[in-house]
Amino acid sequence: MSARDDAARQVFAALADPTRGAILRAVGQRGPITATAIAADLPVTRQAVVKHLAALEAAGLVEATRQGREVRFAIRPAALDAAQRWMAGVGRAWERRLAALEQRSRRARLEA
Amino acid sequence: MVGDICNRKVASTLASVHVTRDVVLDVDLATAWELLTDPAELAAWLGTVGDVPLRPGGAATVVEPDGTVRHLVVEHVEDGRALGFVWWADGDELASRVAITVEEHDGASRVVVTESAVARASIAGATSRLRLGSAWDGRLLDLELHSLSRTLVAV
Repeated sequence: MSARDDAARQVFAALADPTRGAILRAVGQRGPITATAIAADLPVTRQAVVKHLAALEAAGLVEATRQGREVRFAIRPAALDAAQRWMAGVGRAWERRLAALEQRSRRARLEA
Repeated sequence: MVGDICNRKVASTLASVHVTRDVVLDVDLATAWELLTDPAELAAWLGTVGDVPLRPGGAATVVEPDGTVRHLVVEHVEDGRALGFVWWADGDELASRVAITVEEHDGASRVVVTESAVARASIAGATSRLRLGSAWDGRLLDLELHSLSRTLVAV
């Protein structure tokens, strides 16, 4: 597996959990933000939020910054690269397949 | 402000990673469905596929023109209208959920494909359950046929 594939794997594995997706959106909308502030708006405990943030940080999706006694989390835009590469590759593959499907449908119409 | 918008965009994109493409085929819905599900037709645009059991849990292997081998498990079938499956390439820890729909479009057929990424680990349980369910469907059908044959012999 290439380093690129591995980065994409980590991103999507981290996002497999819907709660993690909601936490990521909260960080994107309100970051830099603390785990306590995120937990206040979601039906999960602060402890659970901290665990999810650790997984997101390990996947390179968020970064933590200590400010005094607080730890605030913000989005790492570079994380988008892996997702964009994946989307571009999948998009190209379907464009190729659907072009072939269209060609086949034309032949089927002529044969009918 | 620009940073805020960028962060929201990144978070929104990452939280809903999917790709959608569509094509309009100048054939009727029945023909479009056949092109999408008949193994002989699939070979012309998707890849070499053995039999594709069109029921939840039905499993197949696709060999794409570039040699990529993908394993596929059907999750959802709405006959003639919609097909949903998960698939993954050999040795890849990423899997995808694919939804294909066919709808009437000005006398032709519009095919819409949406593929979203999922981690293999997150679908392992579902895939396993689907396969087990499929296996029991087959066994129960065999049992029903066997009981019918015994009834016929008794008559």
